[in-house]
Amino acid sequence: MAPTAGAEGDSTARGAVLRASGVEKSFHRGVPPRRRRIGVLKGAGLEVRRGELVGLVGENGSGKSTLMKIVVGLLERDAGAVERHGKLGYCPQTPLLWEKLTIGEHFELFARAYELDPARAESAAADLLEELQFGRYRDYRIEDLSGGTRQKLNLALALMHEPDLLLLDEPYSGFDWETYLRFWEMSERRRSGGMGILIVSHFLSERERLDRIYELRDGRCEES
Amino acid sequence: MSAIAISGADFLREHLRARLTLVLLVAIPALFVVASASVLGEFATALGGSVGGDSASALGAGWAAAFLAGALGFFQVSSSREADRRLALAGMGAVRVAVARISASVVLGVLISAVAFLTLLLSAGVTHPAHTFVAILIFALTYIGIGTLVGSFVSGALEGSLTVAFIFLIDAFSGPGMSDSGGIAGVMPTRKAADVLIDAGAGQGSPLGDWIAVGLITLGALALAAAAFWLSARPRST
Amino acid sequence: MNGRASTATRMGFREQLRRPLLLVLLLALPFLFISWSFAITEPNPRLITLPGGEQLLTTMRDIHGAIMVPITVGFLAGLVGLFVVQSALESDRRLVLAGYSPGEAIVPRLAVMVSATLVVLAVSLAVTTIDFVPESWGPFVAGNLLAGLIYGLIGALAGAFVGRLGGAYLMFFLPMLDIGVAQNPMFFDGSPQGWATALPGYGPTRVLIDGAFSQSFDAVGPLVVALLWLAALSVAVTVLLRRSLGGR
Repeated sequence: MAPTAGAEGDSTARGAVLRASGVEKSFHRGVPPRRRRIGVLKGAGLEVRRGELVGLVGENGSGKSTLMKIVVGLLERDAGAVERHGKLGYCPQTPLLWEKLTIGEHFELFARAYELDPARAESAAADLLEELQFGRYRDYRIEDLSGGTRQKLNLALALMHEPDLLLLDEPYSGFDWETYLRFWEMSERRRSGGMGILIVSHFLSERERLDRIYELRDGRCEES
Repeated sequence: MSAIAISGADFLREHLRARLTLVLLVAIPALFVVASASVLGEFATALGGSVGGDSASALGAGWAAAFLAGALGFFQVSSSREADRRLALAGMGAVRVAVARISASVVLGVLISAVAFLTLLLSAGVTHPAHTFVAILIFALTYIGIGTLVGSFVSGALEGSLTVAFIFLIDAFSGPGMSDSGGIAGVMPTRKAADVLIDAGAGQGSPLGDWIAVGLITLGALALAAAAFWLSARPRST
Repeated sequence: MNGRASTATRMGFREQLRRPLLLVLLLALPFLFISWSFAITEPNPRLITLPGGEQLLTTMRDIHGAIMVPITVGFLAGLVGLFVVQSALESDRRLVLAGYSPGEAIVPRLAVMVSATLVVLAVSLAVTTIDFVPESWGPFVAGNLLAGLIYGLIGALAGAFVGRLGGAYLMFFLPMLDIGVAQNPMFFDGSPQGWATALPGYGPTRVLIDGAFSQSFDAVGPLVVALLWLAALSVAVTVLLRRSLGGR
């Protein structure tokens, strides 16, 4: 997807695949005359460079998913700038899949979306099915799958086209321990390959695996 | 109990706070009552039945409440399946979950009936308010039972709505006053409720037998609904 | 159709064809209601006013049967439009983020809705012919098709604005009140009252009534009205869905 705004030369020189600055977002609640604004993001900013694993943490309700959705393009921001470079892969918190379609059919749909030719699409799907060990469910419909398997597909769809920037919103819910470890191996492998990865979580126990961590507090990001 | 109350409130919030739903909740019964008043008599004659002006308006209010209650009952089961199962497993048990859900359903039925009754009161006037309100409530509670039962067998929103619509249309068109009351009308769940509502609309009392019948049918519908909630919340053997 | 749209369309149809209960309902509902309305209605005489002003003596049974077709097609298409669009708005946004244009995601959904409308229409027409043969098939089919498409698009719009419960409530009662009451020649003086001409069911119903009971076509005005409704709703749905799916 195309960059959204701003000084491309400056960001790419430093290898940033994502830079958000001064992002503000409020929501309205209630009906007039009791309508009020709730400020969620008050000048949040963060940066993800190529070959980096960055974490974004914060309490529930701190605005992590809001910031993620703004960065991805699902929500309009009230103020601030977001620059993205290269291809984007997005793994949302809720899988957003089609219940009556199979895993294979999901790969087919997204291969079209990413404009992958059939050979490349097939090899990407096969690799991801192998990597996350859910190949035997390829012809199963989503409605017949467990939450953990759905989440594997959710992640795989975000990775199919080998994006430059990967945005993961609570990516490991429903994973068993083995899959959780495999997820980190996958992430580190891709980081070594130059992918910039942003992981949003309300709890990150693997701080030593991350290059940097942002904490979202009072509507702003602080690097810790 | 408070966990169910909270999740019940969440459910209400999800469905009733959706944009325009509250507006429709008031507008549709109002329109239906007015429309029924003007045409239901003629329609009934065409089907071989007969129903007078005030009874027609009352029936309109009953049906508007019924369809809404049926749809609500359906969505309640289909959207709370997972949550109910988790609550039951967490220690509440399927029986208590079912009881709590039924209580929430009764509250919803009362709300829906109140709206339909008020629109009837304001648009057409009502001779026996208590009698009329109870009759409308019976429609609503019966259809909550039907909708819940549909929800325990059908999961898709579209299929569920169509099934409730299907049952509703057969029921409404074969009801007393509407047709010659042959065959199928006898087994329709709201047959007695419609009798009581027509009486209320006409300003007459209803025989005790009718009240007992509707009481039993309503309890039966709610029992079926409770069974549906229990079935959906009970733990599966692993 | 380009590759993306055709893939999404294929998947969209597969999704619906894997719902056997839905297919059964879309076939059984029109069959039951239409044949039933012919069966239970008395053949009482009724004077109606056709488009063009001509008055005709017919029976309540014939009118009820004929009007049951657009009512059935209307509320079924409306509910399909409502739920297809609602579920699409949830999942299709992800396709758009992945590279689909909003148009490539919307067209398949509308194709599903139109197809469902056609299936219901075909069953409805087939059942109707058992008891009633319209004087001119062309306007009768056209009027019913327009009723289905217009209400399908209204359902699609409702899917974007209203929740599931309110939407089901609306798309069930709106066709009932519009086509089933306001436009229904069984009631009032046999022709739509002034205010009824402003409703979406006006144009299609007058066209199909003309087809049902008249050999000549005198419903040009209502046909134009119906086509204008169709065009306006198509634009509204397209704009709205593009905005909802467009993200950014």
